[in-house]
Amino acid sequence: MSTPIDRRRFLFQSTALGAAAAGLSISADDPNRPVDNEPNDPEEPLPQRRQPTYPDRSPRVILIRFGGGVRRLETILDPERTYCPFIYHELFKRHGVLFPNMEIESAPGIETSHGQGTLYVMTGRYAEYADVERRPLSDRFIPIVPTVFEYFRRAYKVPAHQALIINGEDRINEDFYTFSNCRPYGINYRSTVLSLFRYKQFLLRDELQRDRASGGSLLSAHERTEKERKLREMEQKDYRSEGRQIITPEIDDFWRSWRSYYGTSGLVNPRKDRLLTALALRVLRDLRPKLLMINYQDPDYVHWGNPNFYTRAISIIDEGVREIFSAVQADEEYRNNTVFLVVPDCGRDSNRCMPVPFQHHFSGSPSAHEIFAVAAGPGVTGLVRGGLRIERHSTHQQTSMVATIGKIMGFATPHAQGPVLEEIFA
Amino acid sequence: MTDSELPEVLPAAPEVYPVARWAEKPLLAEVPTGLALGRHPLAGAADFCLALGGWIWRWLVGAVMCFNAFVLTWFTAIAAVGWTNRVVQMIVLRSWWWRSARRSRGTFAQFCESLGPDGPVPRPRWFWQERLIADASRPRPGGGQPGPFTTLLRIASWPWYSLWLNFVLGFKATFCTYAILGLPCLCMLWSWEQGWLNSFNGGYEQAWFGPTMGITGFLLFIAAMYYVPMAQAHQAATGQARAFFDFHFVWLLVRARPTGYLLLALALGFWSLVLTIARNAVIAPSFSGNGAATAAEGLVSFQNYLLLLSLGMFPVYVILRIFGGLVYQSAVLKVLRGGEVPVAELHPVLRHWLDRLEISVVPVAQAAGITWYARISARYTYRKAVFTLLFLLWFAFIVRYYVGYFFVAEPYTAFLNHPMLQIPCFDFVPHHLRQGHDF
Repeated sequence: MSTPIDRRRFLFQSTALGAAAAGLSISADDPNRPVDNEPNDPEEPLPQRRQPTYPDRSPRVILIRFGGGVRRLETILDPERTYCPFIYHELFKRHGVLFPNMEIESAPGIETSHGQGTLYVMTGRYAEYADVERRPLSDRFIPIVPTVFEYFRRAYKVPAHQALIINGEDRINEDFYTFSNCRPYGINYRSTVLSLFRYKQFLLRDELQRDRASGGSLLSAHERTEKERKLREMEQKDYRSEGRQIITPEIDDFWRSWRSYYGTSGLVNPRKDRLLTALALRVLRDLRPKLLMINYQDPDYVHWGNPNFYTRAISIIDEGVREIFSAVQADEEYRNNTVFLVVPDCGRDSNRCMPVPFQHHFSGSPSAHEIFAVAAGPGVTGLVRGGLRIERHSTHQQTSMVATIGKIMGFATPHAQGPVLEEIFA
Repeated sequence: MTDSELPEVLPAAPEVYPVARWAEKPLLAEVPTGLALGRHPLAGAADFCLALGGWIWRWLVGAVMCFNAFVLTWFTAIAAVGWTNRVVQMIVLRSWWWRSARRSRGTFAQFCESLGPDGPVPRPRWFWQERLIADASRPRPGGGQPGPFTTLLRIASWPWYSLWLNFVLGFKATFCTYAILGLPCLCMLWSWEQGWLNSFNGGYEQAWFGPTMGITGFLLFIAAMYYVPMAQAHQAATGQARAFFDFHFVWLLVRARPTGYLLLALALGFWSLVLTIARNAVIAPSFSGNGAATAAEGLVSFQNYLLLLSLGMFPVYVILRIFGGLVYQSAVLKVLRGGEVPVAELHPVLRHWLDRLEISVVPVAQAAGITWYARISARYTYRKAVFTLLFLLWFAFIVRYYVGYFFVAEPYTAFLNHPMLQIPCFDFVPHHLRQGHDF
């Protein structure tokens, strides 16, 4: 027998819900105001919601942050001079759609930099981000609206190890862009990050655990203290979760497998952006993510003045995308069922009077706002087949990625700003 | 004779101490005026206008020497180094001439004439031969008067002789400077290029090497800069390359005028900072060359900017070197007065000048006592403090350089040439822009 609804309670809860919705919708228009500053308590049991599982035949998405800042000139503008021939000639020309005029909006507070660009891509919203402690030159940010991973994991019952971000070794703070402080999303629906930094944490944790399990016989007291201190230091770098890690058996098994193959020295595994590719290939094989983001970064080395770093790094990313594409096409679950979305975090300057015109990416430079996007879903039902170049008078925005992913994977993205890239759908 | 038999020697009475016999500085009233020397009343005004016009012309030519066309600028800038050295030589001589009795017996130009056809001149020329008549009638190297053919050859060289002389002197000066600064600059260049290349490729095993080379390079650079500015002045004054490597004498000069040397370093650092800021203006998208519609227009705009920069920075370069020359000449007299260097051991050129100027510097003996000891102790402490400050100044110079390079990197050449210290070449036009491309 069902319990009759109490009218007063219903009115009160409806009013509260309506006020909350109104508050969210108002603040959704204001990029500068966080929606909710109270983090969810991870110990609090998740509300009983019916979350469907993500269908097997629904598309997987691999979001590639063509990062470190790249110009259209060296990538998609000139087919004969592109440093990423696979992305241009294969991914776009044969399988996908090119948006050559995507941009990052030019407005006060919108920075053309890596942390901010990553968050614009992940949240689908422009905002002015500042370090949590206002420390200069620091990029410890908090997404002001939910990330695409939170939308995804709230819409579907997706385990933590299948909504993944693969991050590089040079930008540790981006390991912590994994969730917003917005109810009803937040920490419970955050993405999982795999990076060299996380691997080192795993090694320390695992070693200490095995030492405890053996009754303290594996490590000397000094070694134990040292490793505990190091682990604490690493955990303190996480300015978000206060040490609460996502430690799942699957992730630990993944790192054990990595360790058995590459060892613990850090000198055997591939390095820099090639490491991200190696991690991505392993992740696809072992963890079977449904939504995967890869944060390539090395083109940014050109800040130090050598232009070859820039062009070489673009080629390395292109090689990595080619390998991932081949792995995807060779896998029955992923073949003809995976959408690749390639988008830079920002552009670069084009100051002709500098010896290295693209050395930096200042927000005041128009060229730093000019990016592109490639969307390719070979064999995916409902997506345009290859070679479509979208030229239109008005530009697309970097913030469109979240809404587009939401449409591809079938979940709502209420706080994302950018419109869906409808041109990729047949 | 045993120790006990040695006679007791008492200090001499102060009235019998030898004193430095300077030439008496003539009172202004005693300096003969142009009228007394039999010159026209308007001759002075004419001289002034000529001098002003002459220096303006030299300034304009010097600015163009420091920035004109690709590759050529490097050669003409070396000529600018040589010309500047000749100016410094003139300044050192003139500073001593001001103290000399010869002032009362003629002008500085007349004194320079008396030093021979190869002597310093009041206003060094950029192109034309100095002292044309004297050069034409100069005896041949083997003796005897020059014949018509020899005279003709000499006349043929007149239009460009000083340019050649400036270049040769500048080349020698640049070579000597790089003999000391070349290694530190190369170390820093190598550390930057290879260090970042190693980092880009994740070469953790050799990660220590790049920074170590960099630190080695800039410590060597700082050590060299304790020496180089004074050595450059000594080479300029004497006109001889080997004077640059007169380590003992140059180091005595550095120790003789620490405050002046510190101020020189401060001035060099400050104007290098100004140059860095002016050069790094290209980082702004709104910079005129960056905002021009085409690469060709951008090139013209940037070239105009660099020419203006050269017009401003070339005289600064010359004035800084003159400042070094003034510190140098004062230091030379001080070491002579202090007896650290006997006149007989002075460089022959400097000795000849002092002799011709009738300046006789006799060392002053100082009585040993508590005052003397206090002075020595204070001088030692002061010198230590100044040399520490010098270290910090040159350290800041290097930091300024690295920060500026991070903002506007100029592969290779920027590490190897500091314009205010080495070759004053202000050609910062990027290679791609010179070829008419945007990138």
